[in-house]
Amino acid sequence: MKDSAGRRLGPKKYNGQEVKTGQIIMRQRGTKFFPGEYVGIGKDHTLFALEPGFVKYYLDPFHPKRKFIGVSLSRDATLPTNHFDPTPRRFGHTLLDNAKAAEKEEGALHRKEYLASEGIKKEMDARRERRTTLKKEYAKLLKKLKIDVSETDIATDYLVRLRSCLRNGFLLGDAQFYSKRYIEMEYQLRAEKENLDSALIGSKLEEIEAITSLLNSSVSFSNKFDLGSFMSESEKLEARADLVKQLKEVRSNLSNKKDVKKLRGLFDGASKYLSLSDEVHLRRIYLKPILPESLGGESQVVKPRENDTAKSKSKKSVVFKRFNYETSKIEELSRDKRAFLSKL
Amino acid sequence: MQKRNYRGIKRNNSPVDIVLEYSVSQEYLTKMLSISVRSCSCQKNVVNLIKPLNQVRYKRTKSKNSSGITPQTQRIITQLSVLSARKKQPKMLKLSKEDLIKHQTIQTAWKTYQDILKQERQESLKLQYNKIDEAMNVLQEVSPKLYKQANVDESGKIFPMELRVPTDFPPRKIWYHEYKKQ
Amino acid sequence: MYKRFIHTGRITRSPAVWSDFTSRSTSLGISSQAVKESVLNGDKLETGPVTLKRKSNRMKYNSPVLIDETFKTCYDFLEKRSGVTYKHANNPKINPEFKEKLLIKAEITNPEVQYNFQFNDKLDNVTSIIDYSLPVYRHLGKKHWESYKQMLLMQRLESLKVIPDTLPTLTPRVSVDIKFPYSTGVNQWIEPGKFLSSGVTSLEPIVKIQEFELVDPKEQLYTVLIVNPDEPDLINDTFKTTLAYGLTNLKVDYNDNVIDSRKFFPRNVLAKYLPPVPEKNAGNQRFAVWVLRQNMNSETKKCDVIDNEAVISTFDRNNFNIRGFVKENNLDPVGAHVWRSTWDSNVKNVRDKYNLPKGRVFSRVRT
Repeated sequence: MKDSAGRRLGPKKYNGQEVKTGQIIMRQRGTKFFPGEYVGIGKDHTLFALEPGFVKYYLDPFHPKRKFIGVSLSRDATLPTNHFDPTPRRFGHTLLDNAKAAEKEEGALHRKEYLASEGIKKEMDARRERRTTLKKEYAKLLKKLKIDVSETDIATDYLVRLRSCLRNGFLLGDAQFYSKRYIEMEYQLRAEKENLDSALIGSKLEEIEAITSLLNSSVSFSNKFDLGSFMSESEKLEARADLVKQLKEVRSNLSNKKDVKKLRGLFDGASKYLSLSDEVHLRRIYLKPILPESLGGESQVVKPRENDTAKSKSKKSVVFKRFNYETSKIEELSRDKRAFLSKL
Repeated sequence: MQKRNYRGIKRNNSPVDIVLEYSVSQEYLTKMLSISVRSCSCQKNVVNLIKPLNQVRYKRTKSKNSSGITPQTQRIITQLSVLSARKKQPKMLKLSKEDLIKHQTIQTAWKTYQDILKQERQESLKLQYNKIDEAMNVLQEVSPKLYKQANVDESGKIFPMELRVPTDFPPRKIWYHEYKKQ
Repeated sequence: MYKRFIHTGRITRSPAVWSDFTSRSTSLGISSQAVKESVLNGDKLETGPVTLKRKSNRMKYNSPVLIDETFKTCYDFLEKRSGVTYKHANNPKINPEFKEKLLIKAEITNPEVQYNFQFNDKLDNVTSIIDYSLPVYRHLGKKHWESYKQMLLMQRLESLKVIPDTLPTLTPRVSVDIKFPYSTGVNQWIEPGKFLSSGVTSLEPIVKIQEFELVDPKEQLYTVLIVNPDEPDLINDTFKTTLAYGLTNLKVDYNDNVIDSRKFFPRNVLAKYLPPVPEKNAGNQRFAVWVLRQNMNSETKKCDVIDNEAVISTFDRNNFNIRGFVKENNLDPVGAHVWRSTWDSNVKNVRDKYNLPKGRVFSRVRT
């Protein structure tokens, strides 16, 4: 009978034996025993310990008809651990007492971290710089608008944070609250660390409250997140109504380039009192490059007559060709020049 | 075949989608039109207004090495393609938000209506069964002999195959005298 | 003698339940008139569907044949049935759970309600469109949550082993979402299990608690505990749990349910927020946010209040036994969330800010 030499399969560690990490517990063909807690399985189904502990052979009610080998961290623990109990864990790392060694370890970076750190620092610094330039700008603006804040540092910090909150999509009320809270919490932490007097802290927090409420009522951000003087909701609505009226007027009486320029100019200050979607909506309506072809049910596109001279055509109307799907012919049509914003 | 947006004019307001198919490829069409319109200054406008071909897919006629497939091989490929159902499915229906909601409402209404009918049917059958059960119980008490006869097993009982389907006009052979029961 | 009566039955027009907003909330209808017209009377529109913004798309679009006519018939049919359900619901003798079921049944087939729910923001809901105080929207919200986010949360809790390591298990009934707006001003709801940098978590999070069940929002009180089960315990060579943040006696409405410091006072704070400050080579730390309902007394219909000052002496926040705490105070875990933190070079600064001791450094390899 042909046979090969014995492969020395079978258990290498028995129930209750102490194992170290990596030690083989069972050699087998297929999974006669399944890996339980803190036991790994190799490609030839070898079971080995993942943690130092004590080998336990057990049965798990969750997996009937299977036998398990697990490693428990203490000699008296029974496997399987109760389903609803916290998993027993071993910390395993040793504390680095030596200060030098600790420092070295702390400064050690993975290769990718190390390579990326320069870029990240650069970006961080760029952001920090941007914030400082914004702060300076806002300080200037506050002076210009003659808004008297007791501490410009707090005020500008608040405004910079408010701007980024608004840019990130928070509603105004929430953004104001979160920015204020940030300033408060930063101060409070600093104060607690320095063990300042609680009265002092209280007064400072009141100051912050006063500054923020003053700013909330005296400045506001445009839809492009530029700081400007405050506009209440009613003022904004009024301004919007005004703008729409003016736009309608100018649009209906367009005759030359100056008028077009005037029309475009009406939108100059609009970001202050219009939301972005509103502004885009109005621009799309009033700065439409070509007026719609049917206004009020009548077609504005007219077929040019034969006896019209070329000169008269070019002065008041624009001629263009279009394929007529009904007659299957290309026909010449003309339109009033005033319908084209760019032609004026 | 790229789908192009067209600033065309809607031809009619019919509820059914009637799209005129051009059997010629878009490239050829462009060429055709551009030749006829070469003199026009607004060539661009015309080209823009060509109705695109949507709903027809073409075979890859241009390939990097045009030698590739012989006509015989192509014939086999088309035959196999005709036999298989791969990718031969109707276009994906895209509904607007309103139409989606309407469609969902219609589906729920129909389902509800069908459930009601089913419920009624089931209810009537249930009542009928209960009455049959009651009647049989009474019969059992009144006359056990008749009850036994009424309870006889009728499984496998079917309409006789030889039963003549009623017709408007009589058959050519009125009666089959030679019939023998199997 | 039988008399023959000509039965002049009045054709009773069924009440238009879904267009009557005198007794129903306006959020049960589509707020935009144009869209409402487009949905309910789509055939009367000359241009295409209103929800298609571009004119070219509207022109290209063709509705399925005869959809509007069919829709009208189905709408009337469902509206009639809803009217009947409303009549049953208005019966004063039924218990509240059944009444809720009936109210859901009455409105769930309403196309306007379906439109409002499917095509508007469900997380940062606008109350005039999706109002979670109405049973219909709560039911729809629950189904939506169960279809993805609940499963995602449970998967994360199980695979990160938050479930056996902190509390034994969780049947999620409440949707919990967290955000860190104070630290950096970023407006992002956190996905469960996400790794957050120490800068982001340096200041406290805000918690959004969305209830789907029928509770009394005026009486029911909630506790929020943020717990870290991965703090190294060198004495026992294992891990211990610490309490990072604790809030008690919070009131949560169906719509107004974001718990930021506008919603609570210092008396609600059980434990002040201590930010995640993981130590080098100590591993990744999980921070589990547990939302628990405080015990509701069924006779008095009032909720048990947790006296923070009395309770503080019963636990040590640096070695927090969450199971014991939950049992002692009769808390019911209804929702959870989790994020992960790991050591990064900014942890030193966070420790500095909070005046915490310098972090220990551990060996890279586990022996």
